[in-house]
Amino acid sequence: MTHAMTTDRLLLVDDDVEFVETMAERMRIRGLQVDVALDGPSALKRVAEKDYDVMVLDVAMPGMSGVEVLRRLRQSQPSLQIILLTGCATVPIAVEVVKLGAFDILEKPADVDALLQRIREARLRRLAAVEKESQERIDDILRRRGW
Amino acid sequence: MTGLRVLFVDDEQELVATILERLRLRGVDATGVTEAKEAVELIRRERFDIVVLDVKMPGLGGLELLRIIKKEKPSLPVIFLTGYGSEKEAEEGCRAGARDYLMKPIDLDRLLELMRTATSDAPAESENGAPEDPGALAFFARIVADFDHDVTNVLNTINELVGLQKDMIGQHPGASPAAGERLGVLVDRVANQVRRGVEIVRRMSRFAHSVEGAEASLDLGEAVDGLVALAARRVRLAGARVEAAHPAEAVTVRASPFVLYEALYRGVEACLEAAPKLTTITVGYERQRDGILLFVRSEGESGPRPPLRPREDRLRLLADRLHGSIVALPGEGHANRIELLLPAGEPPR
Repeated sequence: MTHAMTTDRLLLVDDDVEFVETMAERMRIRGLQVDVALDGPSALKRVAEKDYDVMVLDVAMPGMSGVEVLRRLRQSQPSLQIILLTGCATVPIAVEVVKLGAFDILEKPADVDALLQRIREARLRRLAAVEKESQERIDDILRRRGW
Repeated sequence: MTGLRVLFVDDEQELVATILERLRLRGVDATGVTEAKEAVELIRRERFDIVVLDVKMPGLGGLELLRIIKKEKPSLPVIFLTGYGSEKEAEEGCRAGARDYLMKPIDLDRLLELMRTATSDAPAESENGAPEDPGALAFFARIVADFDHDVTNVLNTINELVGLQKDMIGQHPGASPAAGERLGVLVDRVANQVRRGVEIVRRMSRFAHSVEGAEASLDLGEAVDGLVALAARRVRLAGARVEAAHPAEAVTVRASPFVLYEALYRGVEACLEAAPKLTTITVGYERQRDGILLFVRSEGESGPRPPLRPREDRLRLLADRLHGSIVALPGEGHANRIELLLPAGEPPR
C-alpha cells in the first residue's frame, strides 16, 4: 500500500461535473489522492485549505477562467504545479499560460495514462521546488546566525 | 474608390451636375437625381454601393427616403448632406441608420473619405440580392463555436466514462473485481451523455436551418426558449444565468427566425457588456397596446456605460429587419434593458 505522504495529491478543476468526477475516479484507481472543484473560486478555496502537488485545471469555466485561477495562484502557491486542459487550444493561450508558469497545457481529450505521466513529472518538479525553498530557508537561517 | 457606384440625391440640379462630374473625374461611378421618388425607383431597380442624400428636399424628405432605403435595402449605407440649421435632422438620420453626415458646402475629399469608410464596413450584397452580412456571419460563427464546445464536452465525458469502464473491467490492477453493478451504472451514465448530445445537436440543427429562413410565422415563445438555450454557455462563462419569461398565451409574429435569434443574442451580449457583474438575464416578451414588446433585461450590479455604438447600430438594423423599433437601450435611462417593439399584426410589405 502507498503511504499517504508519498501519494500524489491532485486537485481536478472543471465545471462539467460528470467529466470531472469520472476522471477523478480513474485517477483514484491509479493510486492518486484526488479532490474535485467545479469552478475557479472553489479551487482557490481548496488550495488555501489543503496542500496539493498538482492541479489539473480546465481553461474555459464560468465566472473565473482557468487562466485567471493560474494567475492568482502563481503568487500565493509558487510551488504548486498546474496543468491546464483545454477543449480548443490556441497558440496565444498556450503562450500566456506558459509565461504565467503553468507546467503544461494539454488538449482534451487527454489520454488518462499520458496525463498521469505528466502529473508525475509535475510532482517531481514540485518536490524539487519545495526542496529548493527549504534549502534557501536553511541557508538564510545559517547566514543570519553567522554559522 | 474606382468603380464605386454612388447615387447622389439633391434637389439642386446644378449642385448634382457639378458633384457628379467631380466624382466621375475621380473614378467614381456616380448617378444623380433631384427627386426622392426617382431615387426610390432607381434603388429598387439598380445596384448601388452607397447613397448620398440631402436632408432637406421638397416632397419626400431625406429622413423619409432614408426609412424607405433601410426597409428595402437595409445594408445599403447612406450619408446625409446637411446645410446650416438642419444639423438636428442629420443627427436624427444617423440615429435612424445613416452612416454619417456632411455639412454643405461639400468638401469633396471629406465626402470621398466618408464614402470609403461607409462602404468598407458595409455588408456586401450577393448577386441574387441576399445580404452577405459579416455581422450575421460573425453571430453564426459564435453560435457554432459554442456548439462545438458543448459537443466536445459530451464526447470528452463519454471518452472518460468508457475509459473508466475499461479500468473497471480489470485492465488496471487497482480496479475492484466485483464491479458488475457499477458497470451497469456507468452504461446508464454514457446513455445520459448521448441524450445530452442529441439535445445539443437538435438545438443546433434548428438554429442552422433558421439561416435559410425567409420570413415565416414564428411562435415567439419557442424562439425565446431556443435563444435562451443557445446563449446559455456564453452567459454562464460570464458567471451569470439566462432564463426565458413569457406569457402562457402563444404569440405569433412574422419574422425571419435567424434575424430574431441574432437580435435577442446581441441584446444578451449588450446586457453582459453594460453590467459586468450580472446575476440573471431574462429574455422574453409581453403584449402591449401598440405591439409586442420583446425584451432582454438583466439584474445585477451595473457598470459604466460601455462603448455601445457598433452594437447599437447592429441592433437598430436588426430591429428594422424585424419591422420593429428599439424602444430602450442601456444608457438611455434604462441601465440594464434592451427592448424592441414589434408590430402585433402582419408587418408592412
